[in-house]
Amino acid sequence: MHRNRGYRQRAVVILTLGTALTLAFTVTACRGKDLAPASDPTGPARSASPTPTVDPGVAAATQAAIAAYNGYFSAYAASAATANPDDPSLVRFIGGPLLSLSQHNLRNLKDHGAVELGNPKTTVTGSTVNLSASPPVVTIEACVDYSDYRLVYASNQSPVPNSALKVPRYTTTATINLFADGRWLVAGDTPHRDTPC
Amino acid sequence: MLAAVLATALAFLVPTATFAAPGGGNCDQNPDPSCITWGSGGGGAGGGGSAGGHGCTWRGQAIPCTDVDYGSYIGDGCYWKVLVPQPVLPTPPGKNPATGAWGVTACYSAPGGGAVTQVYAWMDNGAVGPTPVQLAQQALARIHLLGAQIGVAPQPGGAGAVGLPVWLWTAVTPGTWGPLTASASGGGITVTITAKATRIVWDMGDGHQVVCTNPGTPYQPGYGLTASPTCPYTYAAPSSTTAHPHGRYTVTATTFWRVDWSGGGQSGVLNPTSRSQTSVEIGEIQVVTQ
Repeated sequence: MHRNRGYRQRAVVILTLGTALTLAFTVTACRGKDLAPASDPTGPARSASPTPTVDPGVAAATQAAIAAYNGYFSAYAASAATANPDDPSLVRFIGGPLLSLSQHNLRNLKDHGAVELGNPKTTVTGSTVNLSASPPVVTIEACVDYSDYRLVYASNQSPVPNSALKVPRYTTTATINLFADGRWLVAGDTPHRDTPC
Repeated sequence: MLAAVLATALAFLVPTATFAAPGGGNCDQNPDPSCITWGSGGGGAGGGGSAGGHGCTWRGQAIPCTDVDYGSYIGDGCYWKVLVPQPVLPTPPGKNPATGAWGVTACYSAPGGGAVTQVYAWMDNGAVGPTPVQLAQQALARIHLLGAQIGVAPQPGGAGAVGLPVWLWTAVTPGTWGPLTASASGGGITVTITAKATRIVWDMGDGHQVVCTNPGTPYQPGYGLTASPTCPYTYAAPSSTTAHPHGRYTVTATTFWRVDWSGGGQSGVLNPTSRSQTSVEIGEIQVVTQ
């Protein structure tokens, strides 16, 4: 019926664990509280030390993807604090399906007259890379911390009813794709709100 | 052969990315914590966005033809928006990157909200040309859907009375009742539309409405005091009162149109309206009979 439908399957954003079966390389395997800081640019290479033949392309992709992920997380938190779907920092780190979803979420916040306060944090706990996928993909596992998250109405800072999180720290799986301008941009982010970390 | 291969590929790639629209209930794929707070209402097809020009419909409900975040409506509850920058994806076989582009298709699970499934999708002319829906809207802008050429008995210059039959009709022309056809082309595709009126909602000015799915029957003097066989009404209160001795009811006729469009391998329906007004004076019956 639609002109594009025949090609959708060529590039579906895969966010399932089944993807792991085809992932070419596991870069990190950090677990527990003594993880390397997510923003540590040497993290992936250092944590991959058990594997002596690290593809430089993989390491570079991982480093760029983690930087994009951390940038996305910070940019989104800042945008949510002002409910601004047009925050230019979003497009620096987000692309593909997650960009429209993020802007839609932020517009919904704005329409409700609400903002998200607090200082959410994230810690990357692992990543996998598949440079031969279409599009090339880095999958990042992370632990997000919304312990001081508050959803409030912007007008009076009063909390939005029923907005407290049952599990403030949980795992998430982000998908970072390569784009034609050479940037790695976060294209998907699946929360696992029932998996504390 | 190709279809079989594609079907197989689809089977291996399920599930696709399914993101919940805020308020859509399922937030399993939506990273924003506020997604689980809003409940129903907010976001979603038909619940947001900007319905530019004439509306689109899906499953019988009006939905925006464009969504500021998800792009242009392409049918079946789906929107498409070109990606800038483009993802690193091969051009599909037989497609030309000069006349098409990768974007994201976002499909709602139900009108008014619900989960949104998003996938990368190629669109011919996506980067350089309008979508079929946009062409349909262009074609619609080229025709003139007129409001009813109102006929009403009693005539606007005359006076009717409470309890006496009022006849409502429009002169039937292509502009007032259809059919009207037009086409618009762009990006190598042509979309043709056909517009037909489906009903007129008569707002009688006294708080009541009359819905007629026909143009009505023109009144002839020989009909006397009989009621219209197709679009009748009777006022229950006078427009003229002691305080307003020459008060009049404003009668507003809103014509609802069904515009079927097809082209570019797609089809759909637009539902514009047109409107016109007149006024009538309705007095007490004893004034008429004196």
